[in-house]
Amino acid sequence: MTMTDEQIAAWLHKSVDADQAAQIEAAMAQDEALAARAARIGALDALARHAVPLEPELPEALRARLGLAPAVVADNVVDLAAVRTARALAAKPAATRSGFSRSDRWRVAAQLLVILSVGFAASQWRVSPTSTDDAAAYRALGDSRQTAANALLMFAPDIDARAAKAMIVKAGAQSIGAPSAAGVWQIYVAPAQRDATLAALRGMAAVQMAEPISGNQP
Amino acid sequence: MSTASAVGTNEQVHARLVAFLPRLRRFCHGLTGNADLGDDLLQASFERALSRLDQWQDGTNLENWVFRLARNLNIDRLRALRVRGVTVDIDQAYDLAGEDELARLETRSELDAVNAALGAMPVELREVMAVVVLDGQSYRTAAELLEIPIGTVMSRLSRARQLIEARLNRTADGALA
Repeated sequence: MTMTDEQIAAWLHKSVDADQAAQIEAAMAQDEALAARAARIGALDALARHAVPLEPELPEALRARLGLAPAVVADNVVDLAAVRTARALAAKPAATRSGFSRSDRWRVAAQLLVILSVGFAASQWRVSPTSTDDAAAYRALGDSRQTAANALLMFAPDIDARAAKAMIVKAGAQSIGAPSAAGVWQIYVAPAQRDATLAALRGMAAVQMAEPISGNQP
Repeated sequence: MSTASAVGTNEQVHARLVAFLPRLRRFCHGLTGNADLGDDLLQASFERALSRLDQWQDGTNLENWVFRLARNLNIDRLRALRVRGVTVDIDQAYDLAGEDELARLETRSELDAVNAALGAMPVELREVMAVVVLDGQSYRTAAELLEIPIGTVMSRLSRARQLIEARLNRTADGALA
């Protein structure tokens, strides 16, 4: 019985029906050369699987990249992506960094000023007249049960809420409530990683602003 | 669906995606022919899946949906790099099979030889290797996932295997020389 390597491989990959499988097995029982070809094909497949192994666990650094574990920070490790981003930012004129024009910056600054002013006024009214907690202004804008925000984030206009949340999670941060009407997100970042996380966020083209909440030091 | 049950479902789907990551990682390595590029593709695929989860239809195979996302992202990457693999005439793939590329690559073991062959072969061949040989999917599933006839799955697998074998023989000849 003449048998092609493709037919043998299909049998090895369990992609033939029962009748074809029986024919192939019967033929191999009588033909050593055919059986040897099947063994060779099987060995090549096994070698390929061995060359690209299935690792049951992802490395911790990769889990961190996927937002599934805290970012791995070591003194002897250089974050090349961050270095590249910083270098690229340094090479660009300030007005065009991250596609963020000078007029955009003024717009964001104005929005931020409005948010801060309204938030501060609201906090004076809603919280305590003697409160010294700078985060109160942001609590007053959102859900009063969520008070842990220690940074503000603003994305490019074409970034929808789902993508924004995904980026926040990927950065290792946590969003606190919904974005404001101006599109500013309140987020919480582990204090020890806040500066690095915000720097990384600033390096993303989709991020227009990533700033710590002033006075609310980690 | 109530909000509470929707949240519960999303958490379940997310957990399923996370559990699937080792398989996806191997698949991405196979698609790119390179471990580092594979991890980059894995990250992009995972993020794409999370951001487009609303497009996945409950009742369909979640894992194969993510495989498709990964495959499309890899094609986009190759197009961006203007790699010929995507547009190569598959009937000539073996002849184009990167003989120069293979000759240029130095390998010291069979596993290195297999990885070198995977990295050098056209992406269409890597795709069927990733789906059938690495992930163990049936020819029918591979045909659906890659949107090609079953016969093409078979012929591409055969050509991929020939490339790997050629590379192994070259390594063996080099070791004997």
